[in-house]
Amino acid sequence: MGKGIRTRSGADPVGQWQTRIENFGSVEVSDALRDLLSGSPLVSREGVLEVSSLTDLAPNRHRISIRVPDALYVADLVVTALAANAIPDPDARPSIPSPDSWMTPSPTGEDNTWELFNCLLHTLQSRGN
Amino acid sequence: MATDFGPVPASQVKSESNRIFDALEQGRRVLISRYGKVVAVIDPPSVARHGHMLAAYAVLGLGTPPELTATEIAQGAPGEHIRHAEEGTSCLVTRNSKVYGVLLPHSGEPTKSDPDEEESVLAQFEEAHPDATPAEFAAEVARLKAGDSTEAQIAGSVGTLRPELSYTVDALADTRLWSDATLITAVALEQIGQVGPARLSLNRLIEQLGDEDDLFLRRRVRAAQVELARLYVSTGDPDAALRIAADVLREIGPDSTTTADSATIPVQRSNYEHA
Repeated sequence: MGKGIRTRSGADPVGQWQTRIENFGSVEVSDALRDLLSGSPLVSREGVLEVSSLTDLAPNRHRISIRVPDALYVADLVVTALAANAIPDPDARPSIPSPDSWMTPSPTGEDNTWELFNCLLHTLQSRGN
Repeated sequence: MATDFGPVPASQVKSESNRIFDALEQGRRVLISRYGKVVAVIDPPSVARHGHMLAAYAVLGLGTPPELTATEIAQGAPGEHIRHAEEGTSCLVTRNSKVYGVLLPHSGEPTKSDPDEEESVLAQFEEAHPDATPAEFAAEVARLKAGDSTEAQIAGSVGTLRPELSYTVDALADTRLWSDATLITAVALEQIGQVGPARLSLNRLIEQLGDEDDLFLRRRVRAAQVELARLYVSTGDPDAALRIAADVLREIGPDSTTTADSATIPVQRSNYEHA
């Protein structure tokens, strides 16, 4: 269970974005978001529920997308990895280099398990799939 | 700009090929991922960014650029092209001999906006519209990204078009492709020495699309005007070039209110320098 997941306001991300999380028109996407934002492990499976990161040129910042191929909308989460000393109650694991620290590949390499920790969540957005 | 499509894992490109081509037709960039990271993108074709590759594809004898066809994708063989793109070798993505996109490596996204500011706007939207539907929320995000209502309607993709929008999404996408194809034709004609027909192509584009409100098409018209001015300079008619360039500068110069277009100014000025 990942610790040290912050928002700019200091609020719990699942609570802050509760309305938005339920407004993706897909139970699978909403459930995946709740898992990811609360620090629970989330398994990414190609063709089923796909979690991917797009690296930003800003240091340690990424856009993490949660996509179910048949769903109407994709969830985009903009997140910055933080050093442990920037967080009051950090996870023992370093999140930098990111996003690799948040990803554990399966033995076959096809699936990844994502688990966020020691990070700042900037925004949660939606876009047409 | 339109919102991205994907990320689509490299292993799923075959099964999602129809949706990928649909997205490219709508002017959307397609993200390709491998092992959880975006490693390549397919950009919709653009004369400004991919002019040389597009001209080379359109005109025999200019050297054939690498190509990933819809048939190759359907046969499940896009992996090699994607790996080459990751290593820096771009290729055209085609279907029925038409260019739908350009496959490129992805090496980092330039920061275009402050995500905290975007979050602030979205929180205000939610407060003002507590019953917003998923489509309305996605359209608000698209509007925020695009800064242009027409693009937002397209990028939302699920919502309905505004009554005042005269194009359907498909018709607008076709017109955009037509504008790109016409510009490519003009560039290619010039390269093979057909300056007169090149001018005719550019004039046709300017006349037919000169009154459009769509930001993409307005940029294409300006690109055509600049190209036409450059042609006039190269053929010894600076008066005509100055007249056309003045029209462009009047619209996008420092006094213009179309600030979204300011990024195009240095590119256009460099054309004059080369001329």
